[in-house]
Amino acid sequence: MSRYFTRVIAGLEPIPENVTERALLLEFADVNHVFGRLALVAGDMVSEKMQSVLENGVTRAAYDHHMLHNEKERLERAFVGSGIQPILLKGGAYVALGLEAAKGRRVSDLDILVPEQNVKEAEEILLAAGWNFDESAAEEYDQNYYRKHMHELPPFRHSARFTILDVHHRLLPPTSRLNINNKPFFEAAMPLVGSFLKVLSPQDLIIHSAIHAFADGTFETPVRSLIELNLLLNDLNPDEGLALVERIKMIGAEKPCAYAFGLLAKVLDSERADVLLKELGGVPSQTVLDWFVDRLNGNQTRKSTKAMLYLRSHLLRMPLYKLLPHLVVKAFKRIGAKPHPVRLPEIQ
Amino acid sequence: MPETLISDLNRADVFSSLKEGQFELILGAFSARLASQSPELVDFLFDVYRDVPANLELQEVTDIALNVRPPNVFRKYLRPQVIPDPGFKVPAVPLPKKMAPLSLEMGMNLSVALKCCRFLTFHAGAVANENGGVLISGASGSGKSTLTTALMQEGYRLFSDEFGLLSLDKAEINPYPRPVSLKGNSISVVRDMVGAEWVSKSIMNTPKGEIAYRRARRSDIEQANVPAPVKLILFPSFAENISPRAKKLTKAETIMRLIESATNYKLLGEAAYKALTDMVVGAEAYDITYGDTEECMQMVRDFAGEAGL
Amino acid sequence: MAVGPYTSQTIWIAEADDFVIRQFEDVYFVFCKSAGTTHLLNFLTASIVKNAVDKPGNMKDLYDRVLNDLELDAEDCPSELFESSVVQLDEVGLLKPKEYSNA
Repeated sequence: MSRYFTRVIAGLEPIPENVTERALLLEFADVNHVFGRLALVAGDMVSEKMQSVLENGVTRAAYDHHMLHNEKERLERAFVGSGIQPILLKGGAYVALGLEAAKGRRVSDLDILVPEQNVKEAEEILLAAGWNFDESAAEEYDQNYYRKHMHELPPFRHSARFTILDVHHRLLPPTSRLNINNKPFFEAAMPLVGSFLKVLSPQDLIIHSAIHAFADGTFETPVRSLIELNLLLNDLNPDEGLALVERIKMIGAEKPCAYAFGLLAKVLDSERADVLLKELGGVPSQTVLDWFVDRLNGNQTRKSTKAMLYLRSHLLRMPLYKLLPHLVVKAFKRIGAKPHPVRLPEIQ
Repeated sequence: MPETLISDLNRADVFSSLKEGQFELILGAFSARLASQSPELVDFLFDVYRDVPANLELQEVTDIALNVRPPNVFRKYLRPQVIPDPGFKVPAVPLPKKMAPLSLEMGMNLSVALKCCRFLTFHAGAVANENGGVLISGASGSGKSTLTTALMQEGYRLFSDEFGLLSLDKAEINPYPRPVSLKGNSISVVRDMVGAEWVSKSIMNTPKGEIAYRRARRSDIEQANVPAPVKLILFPSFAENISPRAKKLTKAETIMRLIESATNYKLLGEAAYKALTDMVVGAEAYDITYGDTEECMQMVRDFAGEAGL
Repeated sequence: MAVGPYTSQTIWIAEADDFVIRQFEDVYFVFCKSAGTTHLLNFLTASIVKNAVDKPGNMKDLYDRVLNDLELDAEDCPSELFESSVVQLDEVGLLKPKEYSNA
């Protein structure tokens, strides 16, 4: 069912006629964070009632995009004159570039990439502009963990607007076994029209998306990641497509990209991904690819699968001896963890 | 297709429809698809929702989808418990199995508050007569539900005791006549006011104490698609043994307070700003402190008269 | 906590197209379209915004005009208070340096 629903949301199959299937499709899209995308694909081909339900997704995506444009302008203001040109990443970049992958997409956080030598200065600039370290990471242990082992500063939250900002200085942590060359990302970054912020090159957008989905420990949104990768890949012209494989090899991202293309070929029948996968020499492990398919199918009863993926992703991020203390501390913290309160609207 | 009410249905059919997740509840602003394995929930639907239109087989996609289910497979066998599962992560408290009705009500409320963007949604009770509507904004414990019930006794129809649903294109609120939820002392107050046959049996020892539900009347449900312009806005607060006081609020104060009580004001942006300010222009607003429902109602009747209700 | 650097020469502008303003009693409710936020302005902040809509100007220029309009002197409204109000208006998106405006 999940493969079928994913294909519907990717626009490869028509919206089902059966009401129960439609209801399940809506819930699938909601749980998998692609409700706005489904609204776009369904358009006015569905009943008025279904359009009205889907409108909720359109409203939320519109709010996020609006927020993002505003935050982008705030970032420009904060960094002007500093000589630092942050690179917008992920959803923020798709929205700023107006890519197909942005349409209907929710963007809850901003992610930016700055060169490692500028991190300290970027931190000071952001603190001066009203960004503070978020409560969830304000504890000393978490602060140290982020700074020492991760590829980002602890998350910032703006003190008045409450938006969340992640500042990265590399795409995977320095302790990661997957050895990714970060320099080419900075070198190929392109100016964003009408702004002094930058964005990754079209090929690098795909590579980063693949790294994020398949090597970055984020397995929470497999359906969204897959649909996003498919749309990004469709945006490449044939020449850019040819250059992609060379780029992947140069950066050293063969593994996550192979899984990305493998899954795109398997689930969305993407011929483009199939060709790229062959160029890359196929997926490193069929078992791992099957795990991803399993995950996509929401096979929740196979808890071990999820656990293995979680461990696997962390193994890619840092050597085991560094990993264990973190997991132990995390496990203990979870026992006392409280759910985040629902934030009520604010007025200034 | 003529509407079928829950009371027209067969109990066993409803239960098997719930088990298959096919049960469709159609009530004013929002329809719901319900799934559950809980016989307690079936009893509750036949009691409190008996006059509500429903289908045993899903006829259309719904605004809300809710599975009132045991927290996980293991727990089901350890100690019977249920949680509402609206398909997204919420801080839901697992409840003992006999509290499945409470779980349903909490789950439906969460879904409306967090998922539905069609209306500007106030945390407020709402009623209306043929001349217009009253919005009763207050935190829990303010007496929102008791006042909603008291106004129903005066001939107002029930919109909701929990949500004021304001249209975005005109200053009208929309009915969603779910049962009125009563807590603690207000249960006996309302039983005396409306007659015990209109109030469900109490669920004891819930996280919110004793809880009971005052059923919506058939007339409330029959007019569940008829909106009303807002004429009067009340901000009640309840305190024991206090003589009643009221203060007329300026438009600016009213707007500030309503923005705070709206769950999706920020999300809806300019449309919400316009709808809210339009509504306040056409309504009078009062802050009310009271310790006795009847004393409060005497003031409310005057205010309603002045507002043209 | 300013949004970004500015100087005494910075020309401040308020873009009327970016707001919806409604007056209730003696206050103004302003919805800022670009930021998506609602603000309550008192007579001082409302006058700053109004002056910056009519004719953008630098800090000193706006200060003089607002004081003149409201018939206040520097004792009633010290320049520090004025400047912090301008910075706050910038923070919430109602005012901005001219180089960032779309006009």
